Amino acid sequence: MSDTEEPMEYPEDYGVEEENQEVIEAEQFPDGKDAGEKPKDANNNNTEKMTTPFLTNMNAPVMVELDGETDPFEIAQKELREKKIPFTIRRYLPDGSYEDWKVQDLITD
Amino acid sequence: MSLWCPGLQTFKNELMTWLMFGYRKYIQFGIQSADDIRQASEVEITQRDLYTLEDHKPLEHGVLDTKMTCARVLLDEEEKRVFLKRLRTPGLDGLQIKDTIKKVNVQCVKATRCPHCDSVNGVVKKAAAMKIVHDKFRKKSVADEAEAFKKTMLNALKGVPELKAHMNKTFEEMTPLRVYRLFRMITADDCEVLGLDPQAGRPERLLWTAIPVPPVCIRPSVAQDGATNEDDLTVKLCEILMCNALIKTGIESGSQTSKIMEQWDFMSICVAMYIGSDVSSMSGAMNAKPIRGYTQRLKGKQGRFRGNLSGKRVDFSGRTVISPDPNMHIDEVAVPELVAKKLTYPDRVTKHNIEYLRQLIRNGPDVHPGANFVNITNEFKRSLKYGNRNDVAARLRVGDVVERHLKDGDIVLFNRQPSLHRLSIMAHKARVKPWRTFRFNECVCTPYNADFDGDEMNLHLPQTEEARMEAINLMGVKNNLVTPRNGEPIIGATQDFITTAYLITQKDRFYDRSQFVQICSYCFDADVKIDIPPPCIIKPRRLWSGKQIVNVLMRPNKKVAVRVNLETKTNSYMKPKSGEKRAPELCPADGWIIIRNSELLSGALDKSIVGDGKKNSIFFVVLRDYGTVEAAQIMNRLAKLSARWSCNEGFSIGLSDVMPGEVLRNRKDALIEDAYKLCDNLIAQRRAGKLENLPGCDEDQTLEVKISGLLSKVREDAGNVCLQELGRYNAPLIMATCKSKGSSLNVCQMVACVGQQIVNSNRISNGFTDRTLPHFKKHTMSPDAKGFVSDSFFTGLSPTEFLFHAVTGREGLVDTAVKTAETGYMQRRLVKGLEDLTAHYDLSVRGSTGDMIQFTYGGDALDPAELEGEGAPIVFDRNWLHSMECFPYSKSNSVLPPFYIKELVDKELAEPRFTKWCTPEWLDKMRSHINDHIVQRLGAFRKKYGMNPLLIRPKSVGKNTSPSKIIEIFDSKIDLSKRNVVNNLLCVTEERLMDFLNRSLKKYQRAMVEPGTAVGAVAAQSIGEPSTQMTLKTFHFAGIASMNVTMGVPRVKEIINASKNISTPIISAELEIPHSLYSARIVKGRVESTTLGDIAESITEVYTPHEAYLLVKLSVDTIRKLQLEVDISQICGAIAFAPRLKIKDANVRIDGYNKVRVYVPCKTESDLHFNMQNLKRSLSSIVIKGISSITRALISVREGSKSEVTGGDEYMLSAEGYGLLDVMTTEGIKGTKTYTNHIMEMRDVLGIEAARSIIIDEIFAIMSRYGISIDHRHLMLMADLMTAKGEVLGLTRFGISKMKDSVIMLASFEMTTEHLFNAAVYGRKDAIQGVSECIIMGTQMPIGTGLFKLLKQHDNKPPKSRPLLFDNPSCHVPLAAA
Repeated sequence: MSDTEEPMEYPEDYGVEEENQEVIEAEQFPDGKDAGEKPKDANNNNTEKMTTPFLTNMNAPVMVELDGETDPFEIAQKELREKKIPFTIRRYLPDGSYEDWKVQDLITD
Repeated sequence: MSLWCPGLQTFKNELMTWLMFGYRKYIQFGIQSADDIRQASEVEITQRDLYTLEDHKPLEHGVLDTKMTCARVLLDEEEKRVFLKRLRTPGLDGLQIKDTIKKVNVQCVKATRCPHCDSVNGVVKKAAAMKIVHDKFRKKSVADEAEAFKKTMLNALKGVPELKAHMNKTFEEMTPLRVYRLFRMITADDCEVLGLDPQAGRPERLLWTAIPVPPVCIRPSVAQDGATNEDDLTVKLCEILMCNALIKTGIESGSQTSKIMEQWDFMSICVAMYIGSDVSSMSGAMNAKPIRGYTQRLKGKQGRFRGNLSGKRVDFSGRTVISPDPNMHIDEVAVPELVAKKLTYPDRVTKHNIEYLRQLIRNGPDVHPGANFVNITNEFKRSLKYGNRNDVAARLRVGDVVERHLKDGDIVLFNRQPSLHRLSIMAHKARVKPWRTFRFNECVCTPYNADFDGDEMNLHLPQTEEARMEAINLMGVKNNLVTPRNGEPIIGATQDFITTAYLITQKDRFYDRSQFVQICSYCFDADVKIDIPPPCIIKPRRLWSGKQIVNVLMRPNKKVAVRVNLETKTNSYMKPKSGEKRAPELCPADGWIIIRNSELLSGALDKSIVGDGKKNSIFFVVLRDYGTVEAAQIMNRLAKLSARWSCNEGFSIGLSDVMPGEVLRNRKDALIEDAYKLCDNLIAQRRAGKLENLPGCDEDQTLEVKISGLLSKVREDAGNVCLQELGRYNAPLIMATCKSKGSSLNVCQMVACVGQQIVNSNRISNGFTDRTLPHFKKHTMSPDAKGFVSDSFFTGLSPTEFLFHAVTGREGLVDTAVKTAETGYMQRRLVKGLEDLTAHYDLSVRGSTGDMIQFTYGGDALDPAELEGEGAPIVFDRNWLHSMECFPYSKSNSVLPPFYIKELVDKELAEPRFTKWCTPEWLDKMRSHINDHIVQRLGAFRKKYGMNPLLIRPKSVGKNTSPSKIIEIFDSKIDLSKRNVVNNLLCVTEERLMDFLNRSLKKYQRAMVEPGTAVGAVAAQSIGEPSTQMTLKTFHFAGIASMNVTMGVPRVKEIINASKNISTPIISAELEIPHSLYSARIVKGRVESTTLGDIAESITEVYTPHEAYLLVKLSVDTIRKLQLEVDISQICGAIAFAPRLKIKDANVRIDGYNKVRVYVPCKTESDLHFNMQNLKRSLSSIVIKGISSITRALISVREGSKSEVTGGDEYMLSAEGYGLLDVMTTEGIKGTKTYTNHIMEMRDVLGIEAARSIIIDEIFAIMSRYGISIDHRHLMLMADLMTAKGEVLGLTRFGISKMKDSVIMLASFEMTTEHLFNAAVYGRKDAIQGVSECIIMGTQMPIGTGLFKLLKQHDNKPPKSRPLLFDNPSCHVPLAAA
């Protein structure tokens, strides 16, 4: 068994893998007009709800100072509040092109 | 003929293969070839004993391979190219492909000869069970070939002369063998023209030459005391084998041909049965019990698709009886400890929770916060029931998984069937409690439609963090306080909570300090600081009013930010009588609610304020202004307060509550007596024949309508008397007035009078000869003999009354039983049709294959669930009030003059933050609201108090002058008191205005539909769920006298099915001259079909020595009265050209001004009499005038209309029947304002958009008739789906199969195997994009949270490469040294 202090490798691999996979998939749409275009205006109406907190569940590093919380949901909410969640959301438009939004940039309330 | 498992005649009998390409990108349907089957099989089975079956080799040398030179599609090369081009166009949908293939088929059938080999093409048809023949020689042009064909049989004729009689019935039989060989010769591109995929399904594969035998686990043997019981499939396979062996030996030993043929046929039937036991063309006698073939395994509710793939049995779930608990929060559910110990959650060990989980392991499975299993990394799952738990706990490491018990705060899904809408499954937080029932707050009963008379509910425990978070965020009770049907709150106080709220806010309710504080603390769990408000009465004693308790409940202390601002009327509000001048809040029933800054200033709370279903409720206002948490908290407080307060106060009902007083009894008796007298009068009039008929009714109907109206009014009046006469402490009355339970009708039935019993919208009908019961005289029409119950439940019913009452009771029961089944199926179809419509990131609504349904959801991209007003995202009035209250006026704020407000608003609304998100229509609305209700009003106030209204910027004021300066310039001379008055009435500061604008913008943005929302499913549920509440009754159409229109569930069904024949088609038309009844009658005459029988006085046979004719005597009087525009020659014309009678012009002659002679044409004299009688009968139904398909037309008064010309009523025309186009083009009718309720006719005459709007309007009309409000967007979506393909497709099996392309989805809906077979033949691909397919395949669907992808942000450094051994110089050994 590995050292308890060290986070397991698994979650980070997971993240990397996912991104690679997505990028490959995205390249299949050559005519995606604004593929990968970074949004200029962060004032989007879409309030972000999904804060997939499997980060903590899978023993990923916690991004915020903990204050005695152990519930992954609470930790994740704190991360979301403090805009520390290192995720990008890739929103697909119906024509196959997509916009990437960082979770930090979205309105969360 | 050697080994060949002959197969099958029709296209029905294929097996499809599911070939997966890539990683579940799509499913390809096709037909397995014999080789595939052999390849896939493990063993070739040759023994015929039980458990073994045979595989077969295909035939090498056929008998019939002589004349078959050609198997081509009967198109010449050019045509073929055209069709191929059409079929190969990319992006075709299923419907278009089907059409093209159909066209190929139609064209080929027309061909007489093959363009390639010149042989004859005849009709291929089914001859007998499992026999197909080719009838080649039917056409005259191929007589030569027929002759030649007959010659070939001369030899046979010589042998068996009896055959001669059957010679003309000879066909070519298409034996399986022959068909197989033909199919094999079909070329690849011909396959394509036929719509087949040459790779996935060559046509010869449709005929089985080898039968796949499934492994034994598919058809298990059941051992039963020594013997085994075999599966149906095994039995059938044995039969096939036996048959096959018989044929084999028969061929080898050379038995009779006819015998072999017979056996062959039998084998075909066996194989057909093996696939599906419902072979349609099978002789019924041959099998006793139906077997369970493959078809039966897949089909139906319990079949594989619906029973095992779309819905599955699950672990981690529980079910038990439910009970109420007002001490629970609304988003909680009490889970019995017993259940909590069984349901587990796999918690992964982290460094944060390791100690906690260790303790759980030590506790084990039997102590509540414990654990049942541990999954240590790289080891087996271990049960904690046995073994040393302390050891396990000690060995626990980060990364292991502990299956711990359900604990407080865990997120569970809670569900009650029938799950008619999404609110039937919600996520609660669990609280582990003793005893055996699931308990939850009564406020949450409404969405589940639950009560506590023994209902059971289900509970599921999501097993991953992701699932838990999605559940609580999307399905959490707090996030579903509002129904997406119309945006009204669905979770709110019920029953006793409302009663409490009503009683505690009565005007005469006062408490001293100790009582007040006590009651306030009822609301909380001793965890909130309460600021006691100043008492509302100081002398002679300090007293607090009950309304102040509500204030504390809304805002317990100053730190709480919740400021409720609301002004509305309650149910008991009494309008000031005409001429009476009083402020609304001085309503004698205390029915005007004013809440300012969370202070209840007037009004008693009732259901409309604290209950569900109203957008003016406190909870809804808090929800919109302060979010779900605050709203839920206030609801919790009310629930707690109610439970505790009414325990002490007491609220109960007794006999004394329903005992009518002296006055009440007398008044009620008087009412009934009067009504009886009036009824007797009516009956007497009817007997005397003096009753004037209502339009469209006969005398009896008129009498019934009048009496029914009279008697139902009696109960209404009696109810009102009850409300007046019963004391204000009467418990039923209190409940009725605050709408917590029961209505004034229920009170009336208990206290005064049960009233008229109605069955089938009539009074009780006669069950005995001419009377309802033998207690009455025959032909009695009196109220008591026809079901009027004059007694109350308190006095008790007489035997006859009791029976009548039971009759209506029974009708209700039958009604509910029937409608549940009906609406259930309707709901299923709705959901299947709409399930995969999603709002995308560009706010368009599309199906799973990207087919566009709406360019913008609902036209404005607003989510009905987030709307604050009725169909509008923001209620301006209330929000302005709120902004005013939130920012109190102080001297430092400068007051804005009217014109300045206008300029400021215009400037702000032109900014991109508004223009980017909001529709221009809404911005206009906002602008005009501010202008009307703020700017103009302020101007008016200023004018009234002698100031300059300042509605337009005065020229003297420069651009940069500050508002305070402007006010100073213009108002400094005005009396300060007047300025204060104006400020008091309406004071606009920049702070308030900006708050208002920003608040509106924020709410608008929040009201926009979230991309990914399953708008289709929501729409389907929003229409389906309320239709379960409608009763299956037809109503009289209120506006149109006695014109019955189908309403309720049957009508909704008609619309959703897009039926061609509807029970009451009605065309509504407006008139060119609406104010004149006279001209309306003329137009009516033009529209309504008038037959000769209607206007003829008599039709008599006339026989003279010279001639015989029918004499029609017309009633000129009737024609005049009906305002018919016909003269006698027109009538003659109509008779002469009447369809199908063939009377001819010459046979009709005018005889005087009102007589017509019709001579009877006949060939022989003996026919004369019969022809005469025949004609006499049919003459009366000849349509003389009007549109023949319109059976009836009625003139009705348009409601709420005032003619501009006369000031009187305006009339319109309603016509019963079909023929919209004819009505529209009739003179005197406004064609542009004419429509029918028949959707298909609308589509044919006015086009698809008209059909769409009529679908919306009709459903909306039905729903509003039952008092159900559904947001327009849901109806629009449904109508858009039904009309998206350019024709109106009903939500039935036929319509849906045209709308959708996914085979799996269609198979899981209806006609499972038909769709699968079809898909196999045409080699369809299924993209697995839709909801049903994804559920069946177990993949994530591109809906909701599946619409986007999540990426992790990481520093794009490439991973460090591990140092290789030989990179290390120290490992290098120089060659030279060696």
